Amino acid sequence: MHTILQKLVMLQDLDYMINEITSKDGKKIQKKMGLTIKGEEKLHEAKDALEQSIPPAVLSRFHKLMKRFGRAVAPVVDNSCMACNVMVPKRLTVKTVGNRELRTCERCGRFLYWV
Amino acid sequence: MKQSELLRFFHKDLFIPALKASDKDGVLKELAGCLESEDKLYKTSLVYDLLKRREDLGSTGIGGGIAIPHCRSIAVRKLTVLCALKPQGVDFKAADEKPVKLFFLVVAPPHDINYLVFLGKLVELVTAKKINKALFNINSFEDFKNLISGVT
Repeated sequence: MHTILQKLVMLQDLDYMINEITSKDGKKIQKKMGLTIKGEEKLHEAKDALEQSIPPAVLSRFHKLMKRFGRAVAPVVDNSCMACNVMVPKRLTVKTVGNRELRTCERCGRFLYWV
Repeated sequence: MKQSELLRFFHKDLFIPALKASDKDGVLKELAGCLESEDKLYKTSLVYDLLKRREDLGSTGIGGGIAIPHCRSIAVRKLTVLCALKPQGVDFKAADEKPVKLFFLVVAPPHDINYLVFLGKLVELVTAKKINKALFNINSFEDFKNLISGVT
C-alpha cells in the first residue's frame, strides 16, 4: 500500500474518531458501556504528527477536500468510487494494484482507497 | 434495532474459539488480522492502529471478562463484528481489572448509522444476567448462535 495513502486514510479515520468521541451520541454510548475516556488530546497530537509527515501539497489537497465534502479519501468498492459512484479504470480492479499508487477519482477528485 | 436483529451481524467465519495472543496488543493485532484474512478489510495496521489509539484513551474492557474494542474506519465495507474467546483470559486493563476472556471487535465505516445503536444493544445483550455466564461456556459459533437466539 502506498505510504502516503495509508497516512491519509489514518488521518481521516482519526478525524472521525475525534469527532465521535467528543460528540453527544458518542459520549452517551461510552457511558452506556461503562467506559471512561481520558486524554483526547493524545488523538490531536497523533493527528498533528501524522500531518507533519505528509507532503504539504498532498495535505493541502486533503484539507480542501475535507472542507468541501467532509471526506477526502473515498473507498473503492466493486470498481466504483463510493463517494460519487463513478467507475474506476478496469485495470485498477485489484486492490493491491489500486492501492500501490496515490490515485484520485476522475470525477470528484477524492483520494481513492480500494477496500 | 431490535436485540433479535443483532445475530445477523455475526458470521461463522468471524468467530475465533481460542485466540493465540496472550497480551493486549497481541489480541488487538490478532483480531484486526483476522478481519483481513477473511477479506473484510484491507491493511490490518490501519484498524490495529485505531484500536490501539482508542485503548490508550481507556480500556474497552467493560468488566465481567468482556471487552468490546471498536472503531470506525473506511478500511471496512460494512459494519463488521468478530467474536473471539481466550479461555485463559488476558489482562486488558478492564474497568474491574478482571482478565478478559470474551472479545467482540466492532468496526464500521464512517457513515454507518447502525454502529452506535449496535454497540448499545450488544452491551445490553452480553451483560444480561440470563446470558452472561453461559457466554463463557461456548466453544463454537453454533453454541454462540443458539445461545443468542434463545434469549433474543
